[in-house]
Amino acid sequence: MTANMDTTSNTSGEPTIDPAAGPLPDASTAAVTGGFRASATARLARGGLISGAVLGVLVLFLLVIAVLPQLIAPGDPTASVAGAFTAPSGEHWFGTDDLGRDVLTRVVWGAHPILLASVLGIAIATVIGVLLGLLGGMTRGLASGLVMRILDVMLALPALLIALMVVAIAGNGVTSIVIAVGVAYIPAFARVVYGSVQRLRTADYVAAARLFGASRSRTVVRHLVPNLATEIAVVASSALGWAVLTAATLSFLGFGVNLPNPDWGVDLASGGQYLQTAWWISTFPGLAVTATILLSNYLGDYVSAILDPRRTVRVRRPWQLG
Amino acid sequence: MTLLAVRDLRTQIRRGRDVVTPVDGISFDIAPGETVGLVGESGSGKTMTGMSIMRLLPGAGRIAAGSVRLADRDLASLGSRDMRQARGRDVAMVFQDPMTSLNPTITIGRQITEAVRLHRNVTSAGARERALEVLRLVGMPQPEQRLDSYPHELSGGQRQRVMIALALACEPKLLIADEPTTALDVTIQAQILELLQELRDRLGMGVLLITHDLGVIAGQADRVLVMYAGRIVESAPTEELFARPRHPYTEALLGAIPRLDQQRHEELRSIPGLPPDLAHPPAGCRFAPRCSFATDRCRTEDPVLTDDPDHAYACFHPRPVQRSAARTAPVTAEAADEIADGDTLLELTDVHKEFPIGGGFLRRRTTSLKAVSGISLTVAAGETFALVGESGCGKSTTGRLIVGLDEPTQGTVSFAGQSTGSRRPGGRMRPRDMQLVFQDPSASLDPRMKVSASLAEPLVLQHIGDRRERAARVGEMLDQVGLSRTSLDRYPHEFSGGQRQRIGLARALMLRPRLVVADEPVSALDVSVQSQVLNLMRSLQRAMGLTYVVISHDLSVVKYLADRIGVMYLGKLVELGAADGIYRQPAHPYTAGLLDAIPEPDPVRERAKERKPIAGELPSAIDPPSGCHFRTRCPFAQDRCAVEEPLLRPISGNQFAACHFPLRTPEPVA
Repeated sequence: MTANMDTTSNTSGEPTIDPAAGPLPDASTAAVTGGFRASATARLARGGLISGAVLGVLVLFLLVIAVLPQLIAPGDPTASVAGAFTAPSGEHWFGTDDLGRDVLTRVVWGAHPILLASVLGIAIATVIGVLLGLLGGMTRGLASGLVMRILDVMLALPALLIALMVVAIAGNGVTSIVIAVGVAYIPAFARVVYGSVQRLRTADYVAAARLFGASRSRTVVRHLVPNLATEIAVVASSALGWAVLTAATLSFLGFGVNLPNPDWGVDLASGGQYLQTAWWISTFPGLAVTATILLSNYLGDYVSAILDPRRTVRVRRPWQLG
Repeated sequence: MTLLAVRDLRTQIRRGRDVVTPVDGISFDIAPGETVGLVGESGSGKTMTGMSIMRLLPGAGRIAAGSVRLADRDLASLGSRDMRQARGRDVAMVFQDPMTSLNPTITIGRQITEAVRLHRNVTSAGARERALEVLRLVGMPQPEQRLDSYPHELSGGQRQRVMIALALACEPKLLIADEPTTALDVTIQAQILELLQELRDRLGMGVLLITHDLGVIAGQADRVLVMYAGRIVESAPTEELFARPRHPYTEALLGAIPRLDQQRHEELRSIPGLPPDLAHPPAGCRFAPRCSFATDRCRTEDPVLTDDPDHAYACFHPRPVQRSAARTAPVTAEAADEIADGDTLLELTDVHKEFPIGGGFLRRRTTSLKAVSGISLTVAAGETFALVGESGCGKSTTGRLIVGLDEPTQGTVSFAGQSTGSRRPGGRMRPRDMQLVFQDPSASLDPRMKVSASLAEPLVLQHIGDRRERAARVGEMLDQVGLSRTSLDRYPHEFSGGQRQRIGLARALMLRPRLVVADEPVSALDVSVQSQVLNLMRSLQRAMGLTYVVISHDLSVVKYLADRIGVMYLGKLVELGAADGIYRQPAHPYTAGLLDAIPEPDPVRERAKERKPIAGELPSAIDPPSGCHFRTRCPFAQDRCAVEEPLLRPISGNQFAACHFPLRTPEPVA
């Protein structure tokens, strides 16, 4: 940006400068606000303390639901407790379904398979994706080329399509959904790690380690992985939301849990035929999926805000939609 | 008559809860046709002064007080619409890095015509005409074609010419040049500075030249303002300031620069400590904490700039008026052909390095870049050998080949009589014997590792000592490079540039290597800090018996450190010999041109110089010129140079040059 041209790029009237145009005096090295070692509270404050507290409570709540559903909904999700198609009332907050089962109980118990599949799936994707990315980034020649081209092909396909292909091979059930989500999200991690390794590999401190006789694997463990950790955590927390959607879609299509066991996707599908007369049967599982995805996205934003020292913009609050 | 009158200008920037005042009540004038130099270390507020005049402050910044009168208008209080019109038409700015200051997606021509049409009521044809005119004015080769080029198609020097053309498109009365040549090679720097001076004279502009380089100031500025911690601490005509600095800071800055005419083995002066934090400046004189002449009065009372219009300074204890003896010491000849007496430690024999361009998985390899093409040299134990040349000449690649970070495509590197090329592929290098000090210490230290871990890593990797012994050695090394032991638990980003380079040096020396390759060890540092690191490198060399290979583009730094010098041009050595001999009587026209282009921090000599800067720019290393690589830029080139490649041959004693028509007549071979 030149002095003469800033008129065009500047609509607000208040002049701004190109940050690269010159060093600012406050960019003093000693006074970096919040580096990697910023205190825990300073880090959390970067993401916003209130957001952090709200997010923490919501995530904890979701975990309890997933692991110990009986604490929230003591009833049996498969038992018929009232007449069919009872509308939401004081007794049955979310109403009952076609067989007279309590929808609230089913929504609470139905969290388990979806959350298990997405969390485990992302864990698998993280481990394998990071390894492949490191392999592709640290080696040259055929191995690296093959790995990365295969990943490119996978990236060209929607994650859901890949997941569907995996399920078609692995068969039905929660386990195969876990695998499907895992495989579908490998390329996202591998690509991010690969790109960062390409950049870090030529970093001077990696060259310095080589000069001291560090082996390749040691360089990866001691220098690359710690410097990649932030990026991986950010990708993982944002991928979680997508994984929830993929897992719910797969079970909606009938590849996961079999009836009568509760599951958000399955219940969403089975309630679909009664949407005209009993909207509550599929609406509440659907809302549960939506809420979980939103929560995952905000978690992703929050994690990236507290881990990335360069990012000073505060995250949007969950209630500040849009 | 004054063109620009700045009075009590104060600029503030919000930083979190603090308010920083990078410009704190400064006043100065610029007359039409005058160049005023503004010098200071980074963080002294010199760039912010320029930005304040342009009203281009960052979002959190504002002009808090004072006036900036440019030809009877106060820019500081102008409405933003009027200010936009003033920018470009009345005052324009040239930035340091022309790559980031030009829009990469728009052609040069459109960027200039846009500037013209904003301020002048002209047709698009007329604007294009004007663009062509200013490109010619700034000496752009083939200006018609260049109008349709994008910034990335130009070289650094050409981009800076475009930036200047843009700034001059509407003939501003005042030009602010912020480090206009810092990113450029010394030969290109000379061309650009000459251009700026010529344009100033022709257009009668006032120029505010902001730079950290006192050499540039000496040759360009009529008057100099020395800035420290947001204040002007001294102001005087250039010759007066260089001859009789009164403020201790100015004196220390001048003493910190390695000079071409300096005797080697003379310590450089350095300024201890760091500039103050401008959010909480110290009471009293801001330089007092770093000043060796400071008294109690300096620490409590704020000195004001004296009224003397010819030589003002803000100090209670000004330095006496005298010329320091060192600067007038004549260059003696006796040390000229001194030869280091050690055995040969490092030997490069016909080393080549080519990098393939294109190529990769399932892609055809098209061509290659010849970074190093046939270098042979020896380095004796205990000496300091320097490789110099413009960027892109292959000197850094040579350094990487020496330490083994890259493998030569052809030729051998041998260390202490043993070829380093014979090691198994992928095997360990010779970490104990050879080490590399990197240019940018912030990039060469792992940001996630504490200093203690970074320094101990070489020992861990080489299985030396147990935990306690390692800690002891790390501590000793910190003492040796002059850092306190409290540094151990801190991370690299908590240190200043100079301190980080000390850590880098300490890490390189952990294994007690015999040879240290230092790649631009001080080019990322401020002058005052640079001299500290240079002094440290020298004292470590004496203490540990080190052999140095120093790679640098800065011939003054090299002069200070090196016993012998190799001058590289486009992958080849063009001159080789004892440093004193080469500086006194260069044999290769390229060496002579390089030496000529260095701006010396001495206004008298700098003005007396008859400049004949090396024309043109470095050709591509992908397709180098036939015969002598330098012939395309050489003033003495003849037909023979295009056909026959000159070989390195003895000129006198141990000075060698690769030139058919050397500037010194070769002595007959005995």
